[in-house]
Amino acid sequence: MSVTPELLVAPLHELSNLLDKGEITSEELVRATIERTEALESELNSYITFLPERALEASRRRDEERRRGESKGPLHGIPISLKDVFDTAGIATTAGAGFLRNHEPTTDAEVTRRLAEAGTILMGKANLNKFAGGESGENPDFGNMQNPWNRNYSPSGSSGGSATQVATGLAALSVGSDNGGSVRNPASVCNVVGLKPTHGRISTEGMFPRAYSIDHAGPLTRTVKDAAIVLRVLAGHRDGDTTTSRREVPDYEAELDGPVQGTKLGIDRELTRVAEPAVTRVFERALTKLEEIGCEIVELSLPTPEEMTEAMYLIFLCEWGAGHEPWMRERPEEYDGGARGALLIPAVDYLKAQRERRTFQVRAAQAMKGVDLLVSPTYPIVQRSHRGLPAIGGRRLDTMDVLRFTMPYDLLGLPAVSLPGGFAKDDAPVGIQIAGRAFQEARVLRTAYAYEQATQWHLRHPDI
Amino acid sequence: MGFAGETLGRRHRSVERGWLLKRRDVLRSLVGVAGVGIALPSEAQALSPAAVEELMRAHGLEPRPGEGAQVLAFLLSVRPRALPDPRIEPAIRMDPEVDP
Repeated sequence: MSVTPELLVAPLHELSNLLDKGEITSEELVRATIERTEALESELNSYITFLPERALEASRRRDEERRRGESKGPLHGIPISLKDVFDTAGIATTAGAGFLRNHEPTTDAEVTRRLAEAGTILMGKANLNKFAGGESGENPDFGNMQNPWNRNYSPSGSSGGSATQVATGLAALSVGSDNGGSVRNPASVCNVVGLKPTHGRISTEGMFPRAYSIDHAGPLTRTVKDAAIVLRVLAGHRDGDTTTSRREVPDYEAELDGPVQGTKLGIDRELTRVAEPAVTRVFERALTKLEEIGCEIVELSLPTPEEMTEAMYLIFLCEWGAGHEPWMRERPEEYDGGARGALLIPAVDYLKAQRERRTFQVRAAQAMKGVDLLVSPTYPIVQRSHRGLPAIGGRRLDTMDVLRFTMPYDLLGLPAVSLPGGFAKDDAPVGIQIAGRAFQEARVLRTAYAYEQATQWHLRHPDI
Repeated sequence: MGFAGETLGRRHRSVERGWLLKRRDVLRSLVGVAGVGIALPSEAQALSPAAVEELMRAHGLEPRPGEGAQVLAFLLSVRPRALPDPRIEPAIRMDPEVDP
């Protein structure tokens, strides 16, 4: 079997089956991936560091291991990328900042280590918003990323390169970071699956720090089943890792097929008030489909993003300032717009914000008592222009408006997945988001899987 | 209530009163708390970009041209307005089990 561009956008688990059966080899898969990357990259600008020679060499090693019967599991021989915030020993890790282009860590991040141990092949380090900040898909140092569905638009961010690669077959899996929606928003506009797990489910050790108490690492994949497979590899504690929970890691894939009939999905209509009409239309159709597969929609009231913004900003800025302090002192030119003021916020304000956060956690838990999961759109706009955000109802949206569906789950630390929800038009996918209680990723993924199987939106790929 | 509790209680009441009666400017608080040898300026002075630049220098940050005004705007934009109950434990994760 030859590895065609159509095969390159197949789900990871299908590629894995073909490798297992010997119908393709890792080397063939990687060669085809390199060819496709070289053909598309000038249009997409999805990589900061591309590693074709290293990947080819690794693919031959993986094939040899497979021939010896030493497959390491479902990710063995699969080409992947990492958002360029994960440390990779001996490979530049820039966090999207030009001044770090020669920074080569001496050790791997825990995510990097686990994926290597699982037999994956690293194709490169994906482009992102500088310092993983914002959702614009822009990067002044390495160039803007382009949306594969329509190159006049952004793939959103900050994990824009990762989402683009998964959507176009440049990587069967990518891992991004999310502290406001950076995995889920690009997943939404690129028609892929983006999972932000519970805080502490996946290690952030060796991940470029942004704000430690709201930082999450999460996979971007083509299907929910792929996300379940990858989550099992990435989740869990290792001795000495202070960023992860010691809770047992379930077999997420095995739990996908459980029943969803009777699942109560909470929706806050006040929350969904701010969205472009096309997003609302897709979302309403998604709700109808969720009811058809047996879910029950329950209206409830959650803490609003407007209420949470103050605490979110304070926590984020203080933790960001603490993480970036040496650079803020030595490289002031990298921090414009008064951002170095983060070092001057009183500790009292930080603690007040964390106290406020606790009240939001309690209110959200109380609101969720009568439901199993929460559902919303992922991103309130259909297409993200590089020129700025659109207006809705005569008001120009700001960053917090477009993070209104995703940001709360970073502050609350709860698991949330964005999956293909439908299309506003042929070149404009729209994601929906399903969220759950802490460490209930299995339940979140099961309902997402049932929706995916009932709709098949995930089988549409960009014509590029 | 023991001595420590009484002290804590007084502090809480004082903090609450402070926030409820009149919110002090963040910069004024900062200068007062930082203990960096700067005389507490009047509120108008504290709100000037020049005073912010002085504060930045006190924190080891050499201001760039015009940065005082930017930092001032930044600080004013993040001033908290919420008054969470001071008895609530902040949501900061601290795991007492430490791997050696």
